[in-house]
Parts: sequence; structure tokens; C-alpha cells
Amino acid sequence: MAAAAAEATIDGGGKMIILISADGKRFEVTEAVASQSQLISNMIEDDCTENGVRLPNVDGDILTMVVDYCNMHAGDAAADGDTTKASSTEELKKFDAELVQALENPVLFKLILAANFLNIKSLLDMTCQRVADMMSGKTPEQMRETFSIENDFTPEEEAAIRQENAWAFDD
Amino acid sequence: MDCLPNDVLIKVLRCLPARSLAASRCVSKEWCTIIDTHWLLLPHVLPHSVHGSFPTTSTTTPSYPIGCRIDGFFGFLPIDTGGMRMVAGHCNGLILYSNDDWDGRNLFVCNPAMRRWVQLPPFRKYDRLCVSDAYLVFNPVESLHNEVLLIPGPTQSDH
Repeated sequence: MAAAAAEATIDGGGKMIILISADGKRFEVTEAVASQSQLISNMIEDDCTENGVRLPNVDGDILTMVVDYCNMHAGDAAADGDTTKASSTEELKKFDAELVQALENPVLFKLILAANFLNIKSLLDMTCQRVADMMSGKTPEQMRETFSIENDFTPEEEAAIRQENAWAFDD
Repeated sequence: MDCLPNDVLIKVLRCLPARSLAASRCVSKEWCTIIDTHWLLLPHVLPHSVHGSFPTTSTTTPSYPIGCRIDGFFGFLPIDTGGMRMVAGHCNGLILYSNDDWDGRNLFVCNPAMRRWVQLPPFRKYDRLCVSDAYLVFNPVESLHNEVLLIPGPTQSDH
């Protein structure tokens, strides 16, 4: 029965895949949407998606974001040149910016981990760039504060490391 | 940030501009080790494009490289004024800087972008190597070490 449900097809003929989050939430997506994840794409090739794909290290709220992202980007990955289906570049840019802009650090990191685990390159690139943007232009102290990192250098060690890259600390 | 595996952290660090990457080295021992063991700063300190140039003639007023913050006077070197200072050679972003004074000749291999330098053992005034041509050899693709070759000049006995 489960297999029948998971293999449901939509009118367009595309096979549907069921993704199951760590907390048991189920997401039904097309193959085109799901296969933006290299991990799931490989599973589809190996025919291991009939009973749904369990993702034990991705929570439902994070998977919601991932599925939204993949739904939005399915057009540009699948329908080459099919402008009616693909979202416009501007739309995508706006969507991507809004997706990561407002996230608190812990959620952003969870999204990065999910993109890394699911192997969705464009989402991983975008989220890593977001973290880099948050670091850019900050002093070491500000970086530690932003990401709650403990300074494990002694004052002498830190001074020596700073000296090695003195060119980076001038105005 | 601790939750991110190293390969992801490296990916983040690779997105950073040079200054922020250098600042990241000072954040924690772990970050410093990751940046150093993966040579993440290397492409920044050995850029493939030219940002400035130095005259290779004897000079006391070198021109400033354009569009960057490199010290054209090599003020970071521990040299007293008064000697004859010149760029003696260069190779792949490193510069061989020479300062001749009454006592002899001092050579420095320096990276002007990072203001890091090493001084070669000094030559006395009557040392045969003091009147040599000096050449710097450095190919970061092969090795991060550099070599300075000294070709001794002719002496009285050679004539």
C-alpha cells in the first residue's frame, strides 16, 4: 500500500516521490524536483524510492525550505529553454535572497547541513555564500561573536598570528 | 558553526575575500589550521593578475603600485636610510631587495603584499659575493620555498 501511495503519478506523467523528514512529515514532490538532490537522484536511478525516502537527519521545517527551494528551481534545472515553466531569473534571485536573508544562524546552519547531506549543489553554494557574506569585513572578535566561537589562542599566540597577516588589519 | 563539517567550513572560507580570510585565521586554532593546511590564502597572496609594479633600477623614491596598498618604499624592511637601495630581482610575486652601504650588501627576499621578509646573511664589503649578480627563483606551483642564486663577479685574479 505504502509503495502504491509513494509511486503515485500526476497528470503530467511525472513520477512522484515521497520525502519523509526526521519528525515524520511527508512531502510529495515530482521526480524533477527531487532529483535536484544528487543523493535522491542516485536513489531514483537505483530504484530505491518506492517506499518513500526517509531523511533521518533533516527536520520537517528545514525540509519545507528545501522542498520550496527545489520546487522553485525545478524549472531551470529541468525545462531547458521552456520559459513558460521556468521561473524568471529575477524571480529566482528574489526568492533565494528572501529564503536565506531572514534566517537565524542555527536555522541557516541546519539548512546548510541539509543541502550538504542531500547534495544540492546550488543550495549549498548559496547558503555557504550567505555565511561568507556575514563574515566579510568583520574583525576576528566580531566573527567569534557572530558565530559564538571561543577564542582558544593565548594573547601571545593571537598577536603572532595577527602579525603574520598584518596587511589584513590596516585601514 | 561547530556543527558544520570541515569540508563545508572550507567551502565557506573559500567564498571570503582575502582580508576576511586572513582575519578568519585569528578566530580560533581550528580555523587557523584549516586555512593553513588547505592553503586557502595562497591564491590571494599569489594572485594571477598584476596589481602593481616596481621599478628595478636603483631608487630612493620608488613609484607606488597603482590600485593597491603595497608599500612602494619597502618601509617594512629594517633598513637605515643612506644605503643604496634597489630592487635586485623578482619572481612570481616575491621581490629580492638589496641595500648596499659602507659595510657591505644586505639582501632581503620579501613579499610586499604581505610585508613579510627574510634577510639573507650579509656580505662584507670585500667579500667576493658582494659584487655578484643576485637572482631570485621561486615557483609556487613546484614548491613554496625560494632560492637566491649569486653569480660572483670577476675579481682581480680572474683577469
